[in-house]
Amino acid sequence: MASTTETKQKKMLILKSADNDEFEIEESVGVQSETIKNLVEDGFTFVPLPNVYTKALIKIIDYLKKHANKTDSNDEEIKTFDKDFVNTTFDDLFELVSAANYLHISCLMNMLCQTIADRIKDKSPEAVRKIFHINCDYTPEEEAKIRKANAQAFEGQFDESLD
Amino acid sequence: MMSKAKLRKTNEGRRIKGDTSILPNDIIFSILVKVYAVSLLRFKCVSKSWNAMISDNIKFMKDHRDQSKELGREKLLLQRTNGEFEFIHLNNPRKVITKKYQFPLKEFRGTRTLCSYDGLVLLKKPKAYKKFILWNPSSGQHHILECPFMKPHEYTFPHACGLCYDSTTDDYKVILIYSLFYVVYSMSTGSWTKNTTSPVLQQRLLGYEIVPKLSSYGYSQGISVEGYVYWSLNEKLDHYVVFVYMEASVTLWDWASGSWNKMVGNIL
Repeated sequence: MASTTETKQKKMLILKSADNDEFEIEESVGVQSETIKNLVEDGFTFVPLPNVYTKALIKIIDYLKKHANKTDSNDEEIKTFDKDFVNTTFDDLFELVSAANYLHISCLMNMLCQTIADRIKDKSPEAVRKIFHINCDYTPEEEAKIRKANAQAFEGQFDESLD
Repeated sequence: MMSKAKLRKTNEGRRIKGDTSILPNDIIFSILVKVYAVSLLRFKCVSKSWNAMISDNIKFMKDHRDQSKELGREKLLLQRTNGEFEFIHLNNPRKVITKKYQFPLKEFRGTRTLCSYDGLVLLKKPKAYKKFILWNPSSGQHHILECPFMKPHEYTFPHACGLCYDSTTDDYKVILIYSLFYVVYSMSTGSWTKNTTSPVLQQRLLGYEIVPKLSSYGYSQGISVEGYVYWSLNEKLDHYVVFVYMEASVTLWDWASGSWNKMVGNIL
């Protein structure tokens, strides 16, 4: 059964990262990305990705390979892979989420956004600012006003850690 | 992994000038719609752009509600006769989230729940004639609506009321029907519109027997399904009259005669 697919020449694609590294992957793996799929449909086999850097691209190719071979039996294995995939720093997650957004890989985008949402939900606004590298643009008076208006959301202790 | 400077470069063009965040707003949006409502209230003070995204954004509210449904975070809100509210998890009915709690504003305690839809509840003090409160119990946000068309001692209770989501204009609407006129409040524009109730419906409403009960008023709660609001008038089964509101027109279904009477009014 498998022999027919193996003897058939597999279509390959070359992805080029923003730092000019090239990766060869099977077309069937690559087309899980809507961005790549659109290019493949237009006849491209060489895909430059000026918005995705090598380190993120390596991780994303790993993810696409794993998910391309999804069957009923390796469900648990993929779950473990996914759990491990998102177990990283916020900066890494932001880089991956930017790449997944650019590549339009909806299941990966969904998983990364859910991970980030779950990890920030108990954090203080100060910690969230540091994690997202946001400068507070409120005056102290403006911030006090918002805190007062939403007092119930500020009851209790919050997580100040940045990981 | 790449440096922050590189990541900023990656997302350049999609960011507002002066914004130091390394992620563009569309990605922040996708993350925040997955955060619990109470955390979102806290995150309003992260920055002005986060606040703008979370508050007063109908698309955000809608996406957040869709996500909560998907994640099985739906809740049932119960109101006790003493006016206290309780939350119950729909996927775990034995778990009461908040044991008892009063509506946040003291002034509005002991209010009646007029109707609810999509996580929003419309409340009114029994004796108030023009003030209504639109409350989102899961986020704790509330909005006081004041109907400009009401005069004191004139009408204190609508015969029927309803909330609906109009997908054609991406807007939530509050509909209050009195015997001679009806008013519609649009959440996106914050404006009220008043229209005359058509004679056919007027007749029905005036004939609608208001049964005095200790705990309830004689009004009809609208049930909102996919942009239509359905009301039933008269509880007796053989006199059932249903009327429907949809996209600026009201239709009456008379159970006894088994026919639809279309009454068109310009609401929008």
